[in-house]
Amino acid sequence: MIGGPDPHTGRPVHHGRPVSSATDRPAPFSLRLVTRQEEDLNMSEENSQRITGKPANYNRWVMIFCFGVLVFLGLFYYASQKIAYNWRWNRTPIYFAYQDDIDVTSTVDGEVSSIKEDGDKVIITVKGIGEEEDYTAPAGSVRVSEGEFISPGDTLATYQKWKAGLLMIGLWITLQISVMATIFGVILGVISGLMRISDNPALRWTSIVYVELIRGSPLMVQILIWYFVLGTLINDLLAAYGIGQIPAFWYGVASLACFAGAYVSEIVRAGIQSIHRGQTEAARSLGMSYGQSMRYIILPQAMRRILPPLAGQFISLIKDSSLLGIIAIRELTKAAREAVTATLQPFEVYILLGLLYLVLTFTLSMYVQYLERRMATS
Amino acid sequence: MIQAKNVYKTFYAPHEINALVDVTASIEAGEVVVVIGPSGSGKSTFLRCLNRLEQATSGHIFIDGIDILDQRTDINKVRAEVGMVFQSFNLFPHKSVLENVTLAQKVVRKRKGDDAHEKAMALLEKVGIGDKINVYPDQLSGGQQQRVAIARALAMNPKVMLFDEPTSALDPEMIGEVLDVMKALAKEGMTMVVVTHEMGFAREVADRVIFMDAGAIVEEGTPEHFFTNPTHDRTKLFLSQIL
Repeated sequence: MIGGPDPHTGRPVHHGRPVSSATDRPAPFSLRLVTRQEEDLNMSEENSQRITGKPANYNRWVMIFCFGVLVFLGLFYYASQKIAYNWRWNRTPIYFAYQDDIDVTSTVDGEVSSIKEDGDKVIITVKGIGEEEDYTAPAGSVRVSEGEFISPGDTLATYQKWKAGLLMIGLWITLQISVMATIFGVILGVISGLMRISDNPALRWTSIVYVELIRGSPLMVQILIWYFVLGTLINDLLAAYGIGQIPAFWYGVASLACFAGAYVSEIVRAGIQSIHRGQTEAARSLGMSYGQSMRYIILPQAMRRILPPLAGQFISLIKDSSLLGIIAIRELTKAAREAVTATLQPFEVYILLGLLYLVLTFTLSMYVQYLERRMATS
Repeated sequence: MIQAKNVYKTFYAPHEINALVDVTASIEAGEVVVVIGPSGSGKSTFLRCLNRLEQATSGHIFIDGIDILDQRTDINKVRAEVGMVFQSFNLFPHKSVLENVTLAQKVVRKRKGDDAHEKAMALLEKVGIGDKINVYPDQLSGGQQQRVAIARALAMNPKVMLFDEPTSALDPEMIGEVLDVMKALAKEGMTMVVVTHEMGFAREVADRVIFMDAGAIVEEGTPEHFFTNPTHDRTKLFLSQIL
């Protein structure tokens, strides 16, 4: 029970909020600003240390762990050499960013009438019969000189430009899909969670059917249905009314949001139901409506408890987005598979792929831990 | 102020219990009524029916002339006029003491921030918590929390205050401070319905005592009559057990 007094003793229960009068005293332990869950973990750690202390030969066990990791990596490398795999990490950076050659070509048949420098740019003017065209290129990239005769398609200038590689493009799409699906997933989940605890059978049963349908079928199947069944129906309907088509991206977002929403629904329901009934009674007895008591009293308290499981759900969502390649969304995994097709270097690319997902999920889990700490102190 | 007529309340889950059986009572404005009885006698249920935290199964309950069991009644309006204090305080743990007292004023009474703040400060001073307005409920003792809960209810300017065993969850040394606040409130003429086991309080402050057993009102009368000269055998037995 977070907050509120212990019903048996009437004494306040402390759970990590700093006691204002205690600030001038040295902190009994430094972990005051952590959530209750973490605090419990830390307490148990502390307890076990108080009882057993650090195990004997602590440093030796650390070294054994490091040794184990090295042995694993070594074996992995050894095995790859056995099948004569050539590691070519140097070929992977182009999938993050690469320099693209860009040719500025003429569309006009005529003469280069002027080459004017304008800061770090050059404006090349080509004059033909009855037509004149300006071309812009970076300084120093010009391949023609004034007075030269040009045919359409001739190169006027050549320069190189940094471009995002395949994996970065995929990462960006994965990020976009995950953010959109998370937003819609939370909205769906909160609505469905509130419907689930409603007294109205139409609302409650709608929520139950939704949750059971989604949880009971594989995400892969849901994605296929969203795109090939619902997508076809919706897009054909839109076409019939002469409205534009919805791209695959949004069916991907919809499938992930619906999937996550079902789980969020259960998390929200459990979170709300974990708040003591007395809180609702106190709020309602003051004349607050159901909505007001939810908004001001129940949801803010439930939020603290549902944040950790919610974070887990959205980490799953990021990882689940890797399935969207099957409906031709070029997210991270699909991009990586394309890169493998091009390079025939599956080991490097797939290892990088795994690391990139780890970057996304780890960032999210760090952010949620920050939120938890902030909520615990506010 | 409050009229309850032939109120029945039956709980069906987990098994059928007749919590209230044909309860008829009326409480006048300015009156302090103490409801006592053994545990499970329905006194808390009766109190909770008065602001419809429990929906009475049948009967009529009028608060200030408004039939609260009528589905057309806006119960939130009625509840704003009926303050309630709970056994387990039920302060909002994520709000500071001050916010606990101002929140409903702003949300329900639509008072301006300054007005709500002023009202809250006056009440918190009155209950003796004026120096702890920015701490959170879990940093207060039980007695302090209960006094904040009383201030929170009073901030709505209720016409009636309902107390549901307000001192039962408190350590003995904290009971006095809460009872003192309640006595002061009674002196000011607040209409109060108090479910309690504090016989001293009943004797000293009550205008009328209602004794309930098995969901029904067994006996009611002035404290003198009740404590010195009870007529009913069940009352005598109860008093002999607790006094």
